[in-house]
Amino acid sequence: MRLKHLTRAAAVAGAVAMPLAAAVPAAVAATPGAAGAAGSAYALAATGPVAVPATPSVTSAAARPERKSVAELPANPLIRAGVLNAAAGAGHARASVVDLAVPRAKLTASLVAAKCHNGKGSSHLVKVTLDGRVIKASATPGSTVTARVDGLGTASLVLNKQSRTSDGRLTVTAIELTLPLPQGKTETISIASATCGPKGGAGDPGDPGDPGKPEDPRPSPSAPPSAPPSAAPAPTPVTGDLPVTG
Amino acid sequence: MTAAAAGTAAAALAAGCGGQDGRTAASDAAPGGNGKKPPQATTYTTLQGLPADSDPFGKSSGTVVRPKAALPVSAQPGGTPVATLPAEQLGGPTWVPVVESRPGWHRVLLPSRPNRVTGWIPGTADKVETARSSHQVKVDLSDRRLTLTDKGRKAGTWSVAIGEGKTPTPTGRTFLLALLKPAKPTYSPLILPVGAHSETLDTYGGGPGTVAFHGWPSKDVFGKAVTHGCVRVPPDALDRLSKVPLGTPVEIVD
Repeated sequence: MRLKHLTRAAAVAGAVAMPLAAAVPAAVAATPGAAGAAGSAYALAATGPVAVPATPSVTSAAARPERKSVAELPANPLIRAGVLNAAAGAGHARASVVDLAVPRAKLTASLVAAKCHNGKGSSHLVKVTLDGRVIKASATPGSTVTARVDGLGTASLVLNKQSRTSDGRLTVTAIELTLPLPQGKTETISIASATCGPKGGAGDPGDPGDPGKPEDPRPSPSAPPSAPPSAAPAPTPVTGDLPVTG
Repeated sequence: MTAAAAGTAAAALAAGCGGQDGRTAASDAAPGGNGKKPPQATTYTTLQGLPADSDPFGKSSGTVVRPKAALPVSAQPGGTPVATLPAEQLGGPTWVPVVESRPGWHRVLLPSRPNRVTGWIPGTADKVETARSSHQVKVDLSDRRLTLTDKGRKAGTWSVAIGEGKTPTPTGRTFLLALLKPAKPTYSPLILPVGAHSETLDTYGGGPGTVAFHGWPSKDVFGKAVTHGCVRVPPDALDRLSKVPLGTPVEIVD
């Protein structure tokens, strides 16, 4: 079972992995001037009471994509995953997670993948179930599925979430899971996220010879209109210590 | 596993602060550096190529932002990223104060060395949560007093201990970075690191020389310049400060 999944994941990442064998130095060729065309991707990230940094995370504007894979997530009590892949290059990004489980949300998946190419994005799901219900492989961008979480509220999945970055690139996130936790807290888990723009197109910041030139700031076209900011939350103490200058 | 992943682990270890391993890794390992990635903007790092606060004693807007995921930090809006602002600082959420804004971009105070370092981060709603802190913390080194205001009104003022002559408390505006509760408290039940660092101690006690608000077992220190840079506060002040949102501006004046 597991082997089969791994094979499938390799196939998904394959188009990227094949040329990469000899291409690692190409990533270094990314110049600051080409950063606007950069793709970026991460397999999984979580924010909320359980924070998981983007793992693994790749940003590259190289012609040949840079790729990273890891076999496990940082230790955390919420999310388990088998293999996590991310790859990115100029105008291209893809990410996938194999054998994912978020027991508290009753979410399991054999494969969750997102792909962004030349500013267009898609997602692909294999054997994804939420509370026993099977989620179909290809989802309309932004479709939402919900499930009750015992005693805590409703978990929601946004599938094939597509949004624009502030510099006009597209971000496609295969699954964004919002999960209620005890004490009214909320966890957000982004699974397979890929960001790219058109190759050498919009978002290219100025001349390569003038990397310090400020880019024309472009607010995200899809960003919601700014509402008046709410009151900042009182902090929750974090158990820990830091030697400070007593 | 790649060399890049190993590098990340090494970076997390190098940051070692006596904190819990998992937490350190979570806060420092965000984009998986391979040596060429920009450094993380945390209390452990020194950032280069970013502008200093142009108005270090200016009024703060009260706007605070939290990155929803690690964000690039650059010297101008949309410029080449020279650092990464992770979504977490010291195990809690990152909240930083905004000192300047342009459409789609915020210039924020950063928790790294050098003191007063700022940088531009994306400011759209898909990248950051924006909120407002109605509080302000002011430390006047000349009369060794800390004053907390809420909505512009005085919420409390206390006599505090500040840095001594050789290890002064650094001036300028900074912000509440984290609220830590040591598992085995020694001198204080809570520690509130701010964004600033000692100018005279590169490290202290194995940490990066971060300045903090914290309590102290004996009250005879209050009103004196006796610390290594931190601001020791009475229990009531500590209690009040522990309820003030992270990212809230802290103004330290001579």
